[in-house]
Amino acid sequence: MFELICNVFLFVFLGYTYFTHVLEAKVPKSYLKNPNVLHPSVWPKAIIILLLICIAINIVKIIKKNKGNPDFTFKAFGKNSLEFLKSRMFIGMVVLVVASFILEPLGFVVTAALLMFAYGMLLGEKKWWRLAIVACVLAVLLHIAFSGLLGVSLPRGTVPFLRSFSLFLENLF
Amino acid sequence: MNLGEMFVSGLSAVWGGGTMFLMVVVAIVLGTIFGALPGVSATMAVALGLTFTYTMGPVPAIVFLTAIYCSSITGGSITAILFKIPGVPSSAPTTFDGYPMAQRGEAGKALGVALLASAVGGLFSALVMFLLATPLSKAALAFGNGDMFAITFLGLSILIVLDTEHILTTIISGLLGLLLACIGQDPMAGVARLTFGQTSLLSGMEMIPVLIGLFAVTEVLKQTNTKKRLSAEDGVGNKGKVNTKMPTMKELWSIKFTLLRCSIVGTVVGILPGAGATIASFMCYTMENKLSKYPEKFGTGIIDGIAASEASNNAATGGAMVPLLCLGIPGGNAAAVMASALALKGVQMGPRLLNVQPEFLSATFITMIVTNILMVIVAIGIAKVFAQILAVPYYYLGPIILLLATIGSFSEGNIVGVSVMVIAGIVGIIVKYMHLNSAAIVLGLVLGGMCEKYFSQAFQKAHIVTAQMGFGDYAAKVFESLFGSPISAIVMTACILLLLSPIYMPFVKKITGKNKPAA
Amino acid sequence: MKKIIALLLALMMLISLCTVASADEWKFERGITIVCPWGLGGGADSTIRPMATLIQNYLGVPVDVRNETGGSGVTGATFAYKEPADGYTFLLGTQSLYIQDMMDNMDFNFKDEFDCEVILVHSINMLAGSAKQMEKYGIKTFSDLKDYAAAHPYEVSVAMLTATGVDGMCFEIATDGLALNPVTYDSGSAVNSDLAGGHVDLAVGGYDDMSGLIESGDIIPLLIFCEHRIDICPDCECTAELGIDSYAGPWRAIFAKKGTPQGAIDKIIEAVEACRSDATWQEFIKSAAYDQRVVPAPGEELQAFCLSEYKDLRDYMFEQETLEKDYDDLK
Repeated sequence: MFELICNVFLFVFLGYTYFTHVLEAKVPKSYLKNPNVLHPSVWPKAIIILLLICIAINIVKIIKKNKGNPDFTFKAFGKNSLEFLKSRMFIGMVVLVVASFILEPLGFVVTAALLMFAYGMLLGEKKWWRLAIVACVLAVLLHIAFSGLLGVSLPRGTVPFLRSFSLFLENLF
Repeated sequence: MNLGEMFVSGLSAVWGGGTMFLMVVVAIVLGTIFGALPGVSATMAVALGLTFTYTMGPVPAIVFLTAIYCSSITGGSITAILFKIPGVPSSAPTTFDGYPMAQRGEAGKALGVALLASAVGGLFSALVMFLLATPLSKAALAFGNGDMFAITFLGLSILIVLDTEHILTTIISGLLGLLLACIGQDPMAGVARLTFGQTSLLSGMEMIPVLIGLFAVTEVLKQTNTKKRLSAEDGVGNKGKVNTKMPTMKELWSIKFTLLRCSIVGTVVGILPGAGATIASFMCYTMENKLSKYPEKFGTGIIDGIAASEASNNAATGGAMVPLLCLGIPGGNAAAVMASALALKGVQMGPRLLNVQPEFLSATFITMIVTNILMVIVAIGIAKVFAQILAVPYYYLGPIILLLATIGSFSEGNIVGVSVMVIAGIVGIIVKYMHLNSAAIVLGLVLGGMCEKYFSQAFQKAHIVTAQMGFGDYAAKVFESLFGSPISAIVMTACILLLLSPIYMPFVKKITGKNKPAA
Repeated sequence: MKKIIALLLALMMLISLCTVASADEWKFERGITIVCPWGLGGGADSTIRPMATLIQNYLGVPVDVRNETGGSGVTGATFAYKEPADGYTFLLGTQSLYIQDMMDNMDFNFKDEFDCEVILVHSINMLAGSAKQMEKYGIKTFSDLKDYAAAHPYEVSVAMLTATGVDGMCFEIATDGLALNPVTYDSGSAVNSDLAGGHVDLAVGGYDDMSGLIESGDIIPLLIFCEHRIDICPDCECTAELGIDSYAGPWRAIFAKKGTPQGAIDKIIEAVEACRSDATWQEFIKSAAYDQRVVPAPGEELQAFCLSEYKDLRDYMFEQETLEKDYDDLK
């Protein structure tokens, strides 16, 4: 059922995109003056059309395949969805999304320590204090190694004191 | 200078009284470690190496940088195997078999094969380049936009045989990848497309974050739900021990033809600028799968798969040096960094280099040869150390992979890159349920931009019209851009044969009676 | 305990006093970052890197060039915008950022948020032809090209890097009325290999990008977009002598975000001006023909120059119907 819903959603979304969001700005006049050019919308539109055809076939295939399948109902789908929302994987996804949001304001060191701690707990580490220490030390070490020594840029954070801390780490060597 | 003299001058440049040789070893160690760190691309490794070359003369500088360049590309396979983080798109196929092997506790063997295959591929292309540099770089110039499109399209056509069990969903995946590649400013007129008003999408989908998300993050998410891993208190999945045993001679001997075939294909495809390495590694992986006596084992963790991918992508990256030295046209970003470093040292790159300063050409190729030989010893030592990381329990290893993935994505695509990585990681899970193919999405994304660019360029130059195009003109333009030159006509015919193979193959099999049992 | 707190307080006051005292004479206390919105090894990058090394030696603090690429420079500019204006982050910019700003591709008003402080180089664009193709068509000069294009509309293809950018603008003005076939490329090296292979007939670009192939004879210069002929190609005509009003060439400058301490800006300008006479820099600008154009002096002259560049671009974009963000003070 999930597969069918995803395919239908994709179909509708692509259809909507085809008519509204292929081009987001005006094509320069000088470009269109030349009759030999390929219009910038041709390539994406061709791909979307091919996709719509393939997805339509796929939807028919899925429905055919699942004819008579007792689990192929909205009710079963609802039950499975509820189960998924309670799974560790879903919590893992939430942790990752939160981490990607706090990365810019809090910077790499804090985000990395929090992410490592949260995910380590989720994966079943029981000694939370050991995990916390490792997470903090590792986050600091990674920041020093990548940002300070290798010159790979990492977010410093926008909160002033966290930013100064990141700068302090980067300039240790 | 004849070949013999060039060989001697190259050797003496690399030996450099012993000190230079030591510097080469240092460069290999640095390059392998840089390459193995996510977030440090081969380009960055070369840029980092630049600091060491400020006081060197031009010849030692190019020797040092070439050694870093070659070894960093090889180092990239280490993370692909251990953590499923491919540092570059061309090592994506390495994860198909490398990661399952590492999961089984055979990390040492997987890394050993990857390094040896890389060395063989690199060595092969360096030798070919050394002997044929000038004619090859001239040949590369013969490729026009239409030919380049045909070759890139051939890389895409591989999709059809990537997973013959699920052709329709594989095609959908590839098309989705192509559509993702359209996001951002279009290659010809610079018009924003499919950005939904988000300025952060203007620069398009960054490849590396998508790659890391779809491969590494999805894998960690999947492991999060596995009950077995969570209950196993000591060493998860690999019993706290990592087998760093290297592959046996017998095993290596069994992949000799794989290595040879993939080195040849990699070298040929690699001379073409752009995505040579990615096309080569996907092409060789699929080719070996089709030629294999046991195709069903591909993807489950066999050394043939790793060898195919690594031999070909290293052979291809070696080829990138040829246009740089012979024509002054860098074949990739890392080569461009080297070019600017050498320009500062007064090296005149271009067609005259061979006549005026042939020592650069010989030094580069001899360095590539020496590096690829030394690398086997040096890098295997480093790989053994890295392989120990797998002994760390998963509740530490999983989060560490996530942190490394974050660093890699941020360095390639900034804060947007991290968001893209997270979304790609979640999409990777959905993709599994939809029976789509992540590798096909990546292939579409990597090659999509190039495909469109080359096609548009060829289209514009084919069948010139002076007034508004009619349907006939349109068709003529398309036909001429696809089949206008002998090279493109041959390659496009091959593509069409490949694309139609699911339709005619059943008949062919029926006639020949050679029907392999499905996996 | 109280004693320690008192000591700490006293120390903090001392430190703050030091910062106040040094306000007139700015002193960099840590490394400076110059954001380069274009890739490693490209034209902008290879201009700022040698200069960064020289500034580093002059100022005595590390000067780090950080490539934040993507979106025709928008990614890098946005990155610099998000950093605090504390005098430790500067932006390498060209007029392409003005164009992206007026196309409304930035989340902020670039013109209001960033000031151009000092121009490093002002390069000269040129129109050059593939030797192979020029021989085939019998084209030796710009007027030959005009004749040929009139007789064979759209047959001559012209490679350029950004159709909507500076290259496109100077080309568009110079070839107004000619039926040429401009093809967009994404890198200078791709243009060069297609020129050398004869897959494209002409190219518009900086002399710096083409110098190698000009020397080897694979491409021949046809027109220089400049007020005068240049030393390196003395036989090639320039737009001024043909009466064509097209001189635009990309310039690369250091930008500072509004609010950056003036002391820090002055120090950077001072460093750049002092390093210009350095032998390595002189050699570098000579090799890329950057020495053929005098750059405007920092201060009023530079501000006037930037405003006029803004106006030219605005008018061009208005004509092209790509102007999305119009600054009132430009009219």
